[in-house]
Parts: sequence; C-alpha cells; structure tokens
Amino acid sequence: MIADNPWIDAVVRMLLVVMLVIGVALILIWLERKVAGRIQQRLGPMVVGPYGLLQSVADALKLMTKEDLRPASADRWVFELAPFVAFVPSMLALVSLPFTADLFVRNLDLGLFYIVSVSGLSIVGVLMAGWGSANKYALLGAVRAAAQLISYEIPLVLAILAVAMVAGTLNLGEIVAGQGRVPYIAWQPLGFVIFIIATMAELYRNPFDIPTAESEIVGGPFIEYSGIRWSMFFFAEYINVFMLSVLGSLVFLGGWNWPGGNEVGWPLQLVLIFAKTSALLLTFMWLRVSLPRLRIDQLMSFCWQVLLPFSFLAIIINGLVLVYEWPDVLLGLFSGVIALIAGWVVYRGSRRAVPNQPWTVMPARGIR
Amino acid sequence: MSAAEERREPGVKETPVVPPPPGSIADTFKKVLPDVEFGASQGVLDVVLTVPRQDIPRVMRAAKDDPRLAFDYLRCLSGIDQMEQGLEVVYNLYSFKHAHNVTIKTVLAADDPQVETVTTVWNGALWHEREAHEMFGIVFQGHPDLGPLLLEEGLGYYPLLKAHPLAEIEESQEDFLRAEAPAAAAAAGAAAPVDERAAKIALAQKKAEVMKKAREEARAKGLSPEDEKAFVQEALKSLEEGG
Amino acid sequence: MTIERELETIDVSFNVGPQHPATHGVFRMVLTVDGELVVDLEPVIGYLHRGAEKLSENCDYRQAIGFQDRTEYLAQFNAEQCYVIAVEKLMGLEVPERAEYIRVILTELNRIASHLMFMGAFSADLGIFGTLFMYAFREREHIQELFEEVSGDRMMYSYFRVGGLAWDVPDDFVERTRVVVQQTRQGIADIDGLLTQNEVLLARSRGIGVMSAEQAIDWGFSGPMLRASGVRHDLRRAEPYSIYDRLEFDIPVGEQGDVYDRYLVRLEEMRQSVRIVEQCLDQMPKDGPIVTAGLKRVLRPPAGEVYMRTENPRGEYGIYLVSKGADKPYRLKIRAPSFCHLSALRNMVIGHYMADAVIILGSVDIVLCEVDR
Repeated sequence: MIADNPWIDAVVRMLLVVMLVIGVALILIWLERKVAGRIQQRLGPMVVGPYGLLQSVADALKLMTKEDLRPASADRWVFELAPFVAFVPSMLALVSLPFTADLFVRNLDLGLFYIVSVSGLSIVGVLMAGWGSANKYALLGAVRAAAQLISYEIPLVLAILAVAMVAGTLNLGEIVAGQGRVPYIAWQPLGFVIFIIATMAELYRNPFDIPTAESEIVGGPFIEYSGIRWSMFFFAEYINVFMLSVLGSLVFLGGWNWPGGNEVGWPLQLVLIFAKTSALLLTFMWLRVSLPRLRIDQLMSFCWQVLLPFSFLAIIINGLVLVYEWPDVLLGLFSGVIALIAGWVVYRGSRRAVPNQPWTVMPARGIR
Repeated sequence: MSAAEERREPGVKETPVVPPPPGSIADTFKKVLPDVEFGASQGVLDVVLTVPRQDIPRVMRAAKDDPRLAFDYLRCLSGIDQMEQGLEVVYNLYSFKHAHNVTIKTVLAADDPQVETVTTVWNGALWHEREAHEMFGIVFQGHPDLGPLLLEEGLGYYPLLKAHPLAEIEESQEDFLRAEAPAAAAAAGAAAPVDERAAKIALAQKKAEVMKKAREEARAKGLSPEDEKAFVQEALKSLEEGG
Repeated sequence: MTIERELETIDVSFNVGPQHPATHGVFRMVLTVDGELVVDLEPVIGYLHRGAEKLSENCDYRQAIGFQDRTEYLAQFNAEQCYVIAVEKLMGLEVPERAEYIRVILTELNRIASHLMFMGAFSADLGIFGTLFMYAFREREHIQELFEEVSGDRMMYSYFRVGGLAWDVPDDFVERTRVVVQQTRQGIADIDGLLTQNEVLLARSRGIGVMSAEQAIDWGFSGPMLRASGVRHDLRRAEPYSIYDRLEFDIPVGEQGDVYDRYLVRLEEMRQSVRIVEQCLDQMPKDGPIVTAGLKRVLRPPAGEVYMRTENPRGEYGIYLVSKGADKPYRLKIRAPSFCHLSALRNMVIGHYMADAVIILGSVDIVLCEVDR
C-alpha cells in the first residue's frame, strides 16, 4: 500500500502498469518485425538505432505527427470513438493481472472472470470502426471480425473455465499459488491447446486474420484510419497479445510459482514470468508467419464444430472427476487423451483432401 | 494512308500463294463442305483457307462439330488491315482429337466490315472479337457484348487501322532522316514550324557532305593533318557564308 | 429444415482494384456479393494498354524484340524465343546448334523463375505473411544474377536475335548454370515442404475454381491451366520447336482442374525444367557460331504470314506475324495466354466466396502486360 492511501496506491500502480505496458508494446512491435524477418530470411529493421531498436519509437513519432484524416461521409462520433472503445478495454484488463506475487494493481477475487469479460468489449470498437468508416471494405472486415471474435470467445472462456474448475478459484493469485508442484498444463493439455488457438483467433493473427486480410480487403475495419487513431488500434492489438500471453503463462504454465515455489524473491519471479510469456509470444509470432489464412466459413466451422464440442467435453470430464473425487491424475489423463483424439480427427479431416497419387505424368519420351 | 505507304519500303510484295500438298486438311474441309468456295494455300506452318464472309458460320460450326475435323480449340482470332483489299479476320484453330491445325481467313469489305460471331461455337472468342472490334471496327453480329475492352469508351477511331497514324514522337529515326517531307514542304512554299527539326537535320547532312568532300580533296592534294583541318574549316565557312 | 428469410437483403457491389495488393497488377474486378458469396464478376482490363502491336508495326524486326520483353515481363526469354522463331520460320533460317541449346537453357530457367514468382504471389494471396514469397525470391535472385551475367540486364533482356543470340555467353556459363540449378533444386524442395501438404492450403484450394477439360478447351485455356484440368497437351511435345524433340522430360497433368492442381502442376513443371536444363548443359556443343551466317543488319523477310506458338509458363504464347517484304512487320498480333484465361474468370469465380475469388485469380497467374499489351 503506497502512502497508506488506497487511492494514491491505486493511481500509482495503474500509472506504473500503463508505462510498463506501453514500453512492452513498443518492444513487442520491434520483436515481431525482427522475428518475422528472420523467418523470412531477411534482417528486419536495422537502420534506426542499433539493430533497429529505435524503430518503434520512430514509428510512434511518425504516427503522432500524421494528419488526422476522416472520410467526409463517415459517421463522425462513431468513427472517432471507435479507437478508444477498442483501446480502453485492453488497459482495463490489466488492472487485475498480477505479474508477480506483489506486482499488480488489484488482485480481484473474480480476476479471471473480470479479464475475460472486459476484453470482450473491444469487439464493439472494431464494429464501430467498420461501420463508421463508410467504406465497403471496412464494413466487410468488421462483419467478419464480429463473427470471428464472438465465436472464438466461447472456447477461450471454456478453456479457462476448465482450469478454474480444477483450481477451485477465479482469483489469479490463488490460481498461480495452486501450481506449486505441477503447472495446470499437465492437468489440462486440451485446455491449453484450445486456449492457444482461441487466443490467436481473438487477436486476429494468422491463420485467423481474415478481418484484416491484407491481400483481400486491405486492412479491413481499420482501412480508413491513419495517424494516432490507427496507432491506438495497433497498440490495442499488441497489448492484447501481451495480456493474453501473460494470462496463459499464469493460468497454464505456472506463472512465477513453478518450478521455484512461492518463496522465491521477486527478481526470480519476474524472470520466470518473463520467460514463460516470451515463450508464448514467440510461438504466436512464429505461427503468424508460417501459416496461410483460413476462409471465414472454414474458421466458423472449425470453431463451432471442433473447438466447442471438445471444450464442452473437457468441462464435463472435469466436472465428473471433481464431483466424484476421482484421483487428480485422471484429469490430466482424460484431457490428454481427448486432446490426442481431437488432433487426430482434425488431421484426418484435412488429409482427406490430399490425393494418393497427386497427378498423372506423361512419361518421358523423345530421344535423338 | 499515303504517309503510311510512303513509310514502307518500295517493292512491297504480297504473300505468294502455294497450293497445299494433297491429303491435307484442305481436302477434308472440301469433303465436309463441298459447296463452299475454299481458297487453299500452304502457309509457313499451317494450311490457310480463305472463306467467303457469308459462309463463316457454317464453316466454323462444321469445323467444331464434324468428327473428321473436330476443331474444338480456337487458338487465336486476329484482324488485319489489308488497306485496299479490306479487312481480314484470321481464325487459328486446333483439334485435340486429331492434333491438326488450320488457319481460316475471311476478307471483309472496308466499308462494311461485318461478320457473324463465333462465340456460339467457341466461348474463347468472346474477348478476341471484342478486341478486334475496338481495334479495327469489325462488327461481329450476334456478339453478346461488343464494348471496348482495352481502350476507353467513346474513343471515336480504330487505332490499329493503317489509316490511323502513330503520334509524331513515335515515328522512327529512319523516316526523319529521309528528310523528304521538309524538301517537299519548302518546294510547296509552306513555312511550317514543324519542319524545323527536319531542316536542322538537312543542314547537318549538308555540312557532313561538304566536310567529306573537303577532306577527300585535301588528301588528294597530299596536305599535312593541320593543313587538312584548316582546309576543311575554310570549306565549312564558305558554306555558311554562302548558304 | 429450411428457414424462410424475410429479411430484405441487397447485393453489395464493390471494386477490387485497380490498386490492390491481390490483383497482380493493374486489374479491376467489379464483384457483386451477397454476403460473402460472389454473385457476379466483371473484369475490367486495359489499364496497362500501351499499343505494343501498333508500335511494333513501326519498328524493324530487331527493335520489336524489346517489345516482347515488356509484354511478358516474367518470362521474357520465352516471349523473345517465340517472336524470334516466328521471324526465322518466315525467313527459313537455320539457327546454329550452340545458339539453340543456350536459348533453351535460358528459356527453361526463365520458366522456373516465372513459376517461382507464381509461388510467391500465390502464397501472399493465401495469407502466409510473406515467408514463402521470400523463399521463392531468394531462388529467383540466383537465376536473375545468372541472366545478368549473360545479357547485362536483370529483367528486360533483349538477348535473343533473329538467327541466334546477340553475343556469346561468358566462359564460365556452364559451371555457373550448374550451380544455379543445384540451388534451384533445393529451393523447390523448400517450397514443396512448406506448401504441398499444408492443411490450410488444401482447405483453401481443393475444389475451388474448377474447370472441366471440355470447358477449359472451349474457353481457350492452355499451359498449366489446361493441364491441371486433365488435358495432356504441351506444345513442346505436340508441336515441337527448337531442339525440344531431343530432350527427355515429363509433363505433369492434373485431375480436377482446381486451384490445388494448378499449383501442383506448376511445382512439378519446375522440376522438369531443371531436368531439361541439365540435359542441355550436357549436350551443348562447346563452341560454335551463335548467329546464322550471312544475315544482313536490316532484316527483310519475304512476304508471308506465320502463326508461331510456344509453350510459355502461362500457356500458349502465339505470335501472328504478317510480313509484306518490308523491314518492319506489317501486323504483329500477340496471342497472350493470360488474356484467354481472364475471359473465363467470371465462370470460374461465380458461386464461390469472396476470399476464393482472390485465390482463383492468383492461380490463373496473369501478367497484366500481356493481357493488355
């Protein structure tokens, strides 16, 4: 409690978190470009600053000094409020996100529930952006975005709910504290897989970036935004990535608790959280550059026909094991088996299209 | 049209007509359609058949449907502006079944360039005919949509006709260096400013001629190099003072 | 159970292009969509029309080679070869062996380069955020460096001449080409590994944009588009030109005529081109003339007409050349394969989703310069 005053304490903590997150977003932008570049056999930003480290700063300055354009036929208030509606919920979710045992703004008892529900508000921002832009591309992108984000909220929530059932609490601090010996990824591997997929869909990253499909609708709902407004959307995306990565490492990977236990000092806790979050972040970036994009109806059918049934199954199994007080190891066993079955089902479903003999070849002929 | 003719070299020849060898696709065509007048010749790669304009729909339909011909593939459809002889439409056909080719031509009068469309026979002719129409003005009767394809709407002329000239800057060097036009204009007494460039080139040519003659004279006289240079300079000066 | 819709819906019509990352050039599609389903498509071309045919009528036969480069800017050697062989057939010239072999080597390498460009652009349409694009272009750089050593230019070579080549290749051409071929083989394997069994690619491209064999023939398809639909036809086999009748190569033929088959056909064609290049390197005479002897500087082919066609990476590239004995062509009509393929785009796309329209257009592998000339 700073200065023994809850209000000052809250404000100072919030300011710290906001500064941290803005800094992290800038670094993430640089990291994304570097990682994408190296996977694509090129260097990424190299000119501005050593190894291009100041590139994000240069981009931020550029975006701040750009002219603020607004299409004449755009709905003024909807258009101008949309970036805020998309940006603020990302910040709101950070209120209840603990980074170490002591480093948080407020550790709510309903922390998990609060984060998930607040981050769902940014969908409204995207819809407002698409509608207010008075542009057919934007409208198309916004409609796709709404469908995708709303659909993939459900598996995301259910996966986290499964973990909450196992942990018995929605308080993020206690969830991490309960992972002293075994991280919840071992109890809920299926939940982890669903979480990863649903997170990528929530953030519209490849292979789920249909709303902002660069090569089809050129930026989707954000097509008419430039300058600071666009940078707010951009920041919101990276803060969301960061937030969901931290959430994933807290809930599934053991947070600051595993493998050291609850008693280690805060530097080591910070290092552990940092490492696990980075692992998730790098996985997201890696998948972004290597996978092509799915079509919107394929996205939808994947969500409703594959992810949703399996996440329901996970919850039912969890419920059975917990109510009948079967040994805990069954949780992990059942979940792992179902994850393998799910993977096999998807694999067979996609292999169905590969022909056994891909093409017939006219045999070589032609000699002197 | 006369300028285009002047640009071409003298002695322009027409394609020689070599009759095709016996047993070629021309004979098959004559067997399938005995009452159509075919003009047959052997081109460089394919046999070329000339068909009167009114017979084109029948010939094309038979070419596709008849099993001995089976031309199911329209390779190319071009228009050619043959000036006095009219406009030509050339169809290059191929058959996948029999692996044989033919080129079918028809000649249209320059003042009435109409022919029946072949889009009912091959779908692939859709855009080819549209392009031939906008470039030459050939009207394909029965074509579903004969609007401009590559050019803008309402252009008002047909660019690939020989009567339509190229813009000035696109004429090639050889024509300007011939320097016929400024001489003719000067003879007619027209003081056209567009001939300035041609006049300058004519002057440069005259200078070059004088220099060449002066050098030859100097060498014939056996002068040393400096004397030769001075001789040539004098000749040029006298040209400028005189001309 | 069907649900009766009582909502009044309007079909939205909007432009894709002319400035758009997915249209491979300055091409405009006016799509009319009902939700995500494409109801109508109107292709609008002509943004890149420069009057190459009219301009060629005022160039002599050697200058017109440059126009061929600029018409087909991804497979320049193929276009040059078609034009140059057309004039040679008109004049009845015999090209020396060494020149023929070098021509075929360069043409097949250019085919590989063009298909690599297709791989890159296709994957960019799919949404791989540029990764495969970079891999494909890495290979293309090797080939373009070789071309620069030979002709002095990275893109618009103007290296073929009527009767042979402009000048001889550098001394280390054979070794350099073998190195390039080795690197290309590795690159093709990379692309194969990344894309061919990729589940997302299969989901996006299987059964999309299907053209049956009869439809393909009717619309004038050629090249990989025709072969993917199951028609076994390759001009290098059906109507051999140059020295192709001495070379051994397979011709990949697809089954369904959808986007995935077109991708597979082009991938395998790259491997076959590598095979052809290696055979030519082995069979090529070590030295010899590279231009037909006794050619004048200004060519005047005898009066005549010829329709010469060669197998371009995109299909059948045809040159209909009419000569009246002058030093300039009387009529030079270019039959571009992408032109014929685009006329069938409407048929291929209607009934699919909007995202598929972009993929189908990518699979046609158009070059706007030859569509518009």
